[in-house]
Amino acid sequence: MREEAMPLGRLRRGLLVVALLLGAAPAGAQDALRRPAGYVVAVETTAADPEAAAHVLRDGQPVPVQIGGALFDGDRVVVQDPGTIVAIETITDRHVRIDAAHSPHAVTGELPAGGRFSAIAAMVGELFRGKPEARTVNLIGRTDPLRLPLGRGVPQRVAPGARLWVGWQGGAAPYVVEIREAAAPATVLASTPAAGRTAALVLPQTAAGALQLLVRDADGAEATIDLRPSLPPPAVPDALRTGAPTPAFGQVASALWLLEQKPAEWDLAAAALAAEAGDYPAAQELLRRLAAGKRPEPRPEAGLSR
Amino acid sequence: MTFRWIRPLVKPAIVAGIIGLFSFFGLADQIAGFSANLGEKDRIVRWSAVLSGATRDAIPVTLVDIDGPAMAALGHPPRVPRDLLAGLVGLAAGKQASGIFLDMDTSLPGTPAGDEALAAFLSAYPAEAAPLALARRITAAPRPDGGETLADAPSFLDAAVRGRGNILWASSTSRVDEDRVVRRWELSQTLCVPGAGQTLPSPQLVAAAVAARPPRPLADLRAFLDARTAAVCAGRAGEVPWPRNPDPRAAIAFLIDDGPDWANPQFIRRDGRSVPLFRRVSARALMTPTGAVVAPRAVADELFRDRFVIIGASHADSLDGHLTPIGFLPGALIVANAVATAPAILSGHPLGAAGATLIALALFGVMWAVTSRLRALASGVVVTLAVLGSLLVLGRLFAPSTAGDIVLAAFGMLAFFSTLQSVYTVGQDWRERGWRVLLKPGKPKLPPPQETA
Repeated sequence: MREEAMPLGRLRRGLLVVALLLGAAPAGAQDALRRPAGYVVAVETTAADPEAAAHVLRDGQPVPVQIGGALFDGDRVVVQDPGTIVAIETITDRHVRIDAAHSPHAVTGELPAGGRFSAIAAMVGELFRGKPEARTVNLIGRTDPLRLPLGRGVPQRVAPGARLWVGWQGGAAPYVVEIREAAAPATVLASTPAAGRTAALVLPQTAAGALQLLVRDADGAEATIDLRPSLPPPAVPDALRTGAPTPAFGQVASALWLLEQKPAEWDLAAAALAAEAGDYPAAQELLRRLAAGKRPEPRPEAGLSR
Repeated sequence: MTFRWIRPLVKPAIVAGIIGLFSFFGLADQIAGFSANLGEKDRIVRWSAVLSGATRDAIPVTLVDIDGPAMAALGHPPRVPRDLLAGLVGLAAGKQASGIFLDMDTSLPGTPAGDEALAAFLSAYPAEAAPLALARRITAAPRPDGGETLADAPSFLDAAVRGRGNILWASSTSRVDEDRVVRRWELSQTLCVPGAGQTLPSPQLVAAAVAARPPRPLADLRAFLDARTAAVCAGRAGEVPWPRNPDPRAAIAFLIDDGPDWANPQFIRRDGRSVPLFRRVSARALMTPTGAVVAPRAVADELFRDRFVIIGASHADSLDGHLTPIGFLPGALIVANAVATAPAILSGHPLGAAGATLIALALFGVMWAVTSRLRALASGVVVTLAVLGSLLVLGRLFAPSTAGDIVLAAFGMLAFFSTLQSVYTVGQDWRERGWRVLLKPGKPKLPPPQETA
């Protein structure tokens, strides 16, 4: 009996080996496909021709550097332009910023394939991992940094003589708001203190050239934006100013005359004139139309906050 | 003879010494954590998702993340500039994404120029471009009878989107459990407004249609949404051919965590190629210094082509972070997890509560038979293998989330039955032995060896 069972036992073992090999073969074929070592995550360049600023040498051939592009083992990242930085993240280097001084940079390694079995191994390893260490956190209120969220770094156009209202976020009260010349920061054209996070101050009529609006908080933190005063508007004809039946009428007429000359350029000056007219219906209507020209009409649900 | 009393103490002393040594080197904490970790329900759910094939027919996802550095480069505006969003959508569409989901609230106006730019872009969105889903803000609205109902907030893009066949509104909502952890999705959101009920799809439902292989026509998606509206608002239940398993509240398989692409990469097979399951790119990298979107030739095609693109915000002011079983994640990343693993759930065979209970009972029966016949170590190994096998088989037949629910239900039944059995045994023996029934039964004394002649 035992002698007959032996060939059957060998047959079963053989079938088991074949089954294992067949099961492993697809996995092996998948492993044979080349996986990247990492990716290009950012390209910072001021070069006129970004494509000439950096490239990747792959198997001896130059390949363009593209955001999100894959990098493989053996690649060399070449940065030629001195003002260009290529940021990459790879399994070996983690996060690296490559400039011309550190070029070429060799890429090595390969991202793991993942898959179900490596996930199981990771899960078993997780069981033995202790809890992460506790960390200290503040239980007191948070002071956000001072921020002046206006524009994207382009100068804000303002009208000389206009009253500017400024709002900001964060920082520690009390604040000081100043308007000063950008070329000579010591020259302060207007200044006002503020207990809250808003302030109003008047831009002098004689303000010209590049200016800076600065908000400084109690801790000395500063936030600035650039201002560009509009050029002085053309002189309004005397007949409009002096021949008007009332001063307010004259101001509205002058504002309308300015808008006729170059609406896009003198609209701020026109609005400033109309605002000086005070509670005059024509001035209010003109101001409303000037404002409507800049943003859509308010909708019924505009009562929502934010 | 004198030291015979020492012999019974040797074994306990050795065990105590080993435990002391482990504690001295800090290993006792890890060993204690082992059993605690093993019992975590969220861990079991996550394992079951992996083992039961949550990445079956998975959808590759790219997340364009408007993060802190992006907002800093923009000068910390109160809202993400809408013209930037238009540029990012245009970039993804131009790179032939399989679908795009814009996970940004458009119920409130931004800057006039930005709003106009986005509206104009959508008005001119080509009909042949990738399907685009826009997040619709859902809010609680008062009902005439004093209660509350859900309603969608209007958007400044309503006019631009109206009538566009490949642009649709979507609901980006999830279920939050009592411990404030997001574990399950909402497959769709039905709003029963009198005379104008509608169902908004979730981004994962949209992705399962447009990014599947082969992709489903949007008409199938709309047919499902109409049927859902009729069922919920008018009580008219009806069958639709797709999706096969429209589980409204399936467990999300959290396979993608909040880390860099190299930290936990996963590759899937798609159209005969190995592609990464998830890619993440900061919007900052796709912006020029002036805040515009870079030229398409500066971006690799593989970052967007044939991938489902999610454009969302993870910066601190977005207030869009949520607790999940794998930690605190931005909302867009939760959506990415749901999208990537949606096909495995939606393509499974549907299983009702009765069917799931029967299968759980059968699995419980097997586990009880094993645990009642074998010693603890052996039964632990056998039960583990049975559970793994069940997850693999059930996950292939039904949805991975269903397989996980069945296995957890079977464990729950086993624990409940063991408790009942123990209480019954104690109650039975109490009359005879009183409080001593709570003590472990002593070892039976062996008869002294008999001398043979």
